[in-house]
Amino acid sequence: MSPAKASGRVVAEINAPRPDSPRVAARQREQRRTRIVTAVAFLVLVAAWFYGYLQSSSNLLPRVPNVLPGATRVEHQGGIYVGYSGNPEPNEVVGYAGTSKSIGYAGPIELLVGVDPAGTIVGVEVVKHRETPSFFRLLKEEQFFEQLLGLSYIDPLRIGQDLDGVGGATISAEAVAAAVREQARALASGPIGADLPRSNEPIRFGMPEVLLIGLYVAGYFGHRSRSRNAKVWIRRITLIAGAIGLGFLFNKPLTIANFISLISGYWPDWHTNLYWFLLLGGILFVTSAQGKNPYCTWFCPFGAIQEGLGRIGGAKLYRPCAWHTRLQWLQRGLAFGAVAVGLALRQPGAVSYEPFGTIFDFTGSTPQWILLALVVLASLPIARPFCNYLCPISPIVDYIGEVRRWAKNLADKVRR
Amino acid sequence: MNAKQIGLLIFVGVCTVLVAATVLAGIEENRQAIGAGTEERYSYSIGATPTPVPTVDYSELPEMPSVPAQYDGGMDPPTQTPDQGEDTIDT
Repeated sequence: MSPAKASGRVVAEINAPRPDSPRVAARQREQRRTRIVTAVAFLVLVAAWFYGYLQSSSNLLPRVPNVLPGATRVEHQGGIYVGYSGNPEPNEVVGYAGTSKSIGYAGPIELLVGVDPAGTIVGVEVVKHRETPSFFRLLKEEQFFEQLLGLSYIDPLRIGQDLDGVGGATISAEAVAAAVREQARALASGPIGADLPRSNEPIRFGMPEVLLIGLYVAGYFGHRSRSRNAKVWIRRITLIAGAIGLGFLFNKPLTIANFISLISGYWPDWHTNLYWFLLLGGILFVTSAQGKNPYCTWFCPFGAIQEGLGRIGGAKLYRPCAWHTRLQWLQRGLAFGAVAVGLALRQPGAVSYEPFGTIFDFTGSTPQWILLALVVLASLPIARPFCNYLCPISPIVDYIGEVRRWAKNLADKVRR
Repeated sequence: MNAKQIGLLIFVGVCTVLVAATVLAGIEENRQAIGAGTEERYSYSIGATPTPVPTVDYSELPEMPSVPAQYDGGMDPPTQTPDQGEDTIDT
């Protein structure tokens, strides 16, 4: 060891607080409290997960006549529903119905699909959905479901071919189309007895995926760069690209709904939603491997907007000592509450309270619009107010980092 | 506590209430969306009682006097059937 290093260590040891000093005791108390709260939070989340799992069943028989017009009697036969009509004895088959599920942006959309004996779609009804409310509202407003009527199992049933997409709710519309397509074809090859060729789902790899990979790569090099100037410029570029691309162009920011969908097992089809896997996979990988948050600092679109506003208003980071810890716990509490309720009700989209869709797609509930207005105003004097006091993403990523530290400490102990 | 701290606490407090309102509104909206679909066209809805179709017993109706149909000259008779959706082109 060089003398300089050795003398540095001596100085550090002299300056370090003694093990029995009040500062060390307070830090240890805080660490113990964090560990206990983290463990309790984990147990509550596990309980919420199981509660949500047990609550997810429903009786569909009374709903079948809604998708099989004219059916006066419905029978449940081998996983599908058969509707009959006729007078006085309803013996004539009017159609078949079955349920199908597809994963939308935030969670599954479960549909009851009815077809007539020729395989023409005669009714579609939402049985259950966990989609982000604003996206689902667009499907209803644009009468997307009405387009499905009269189409058949032999039709493509795809957005851009025989179905018009819904701007601002592309993934939700695709999920509905996929669910209807799958069920119509299952009923055709089942009770109707049609011979259907197998179709392979093409892998979708477009601009959002390319941009996301580019941002990860740029963020990696920016983080590794030793030049402060290069770091600052790379960060500026990634933030602007994130705001324009992931925000306004594609409206695909990371939300709490993504994490709840992941834990709930609501994983979308990777062929059509590769972006989801890249976004979450990349964040989980980097956070677990390096303990760093690659998203919030480098390319969060809403963070970029707040920083831009902060530049206009001369914002400064404001963390009053007296309130900092309490506000940090409030932020963690909000994130925890949202995840617990989202898991218990299996509603990832509904608990996603971030106003991202409101600013990037101009959709959102009244409270979200007010929240957005307040955050925009607060961003002028305070640096990133939403990120620092309200956003649920950073507590979740911190939690993953905390789990990583635990695992590392445990591995070190085992190795010794 | 200075004015800046009070402002920050009010901001965080109001935003927390808005976050709770957003979550509750989202859950309620999703609950109401159950049953949405193609029911509008067919006028079916969950739990709705179908309106009974009124029935008429024709045997009880009074017999109508038989009047021969004839053109009384008061109006121009129709000369052609309504078009079946053909486009007209303004020249």
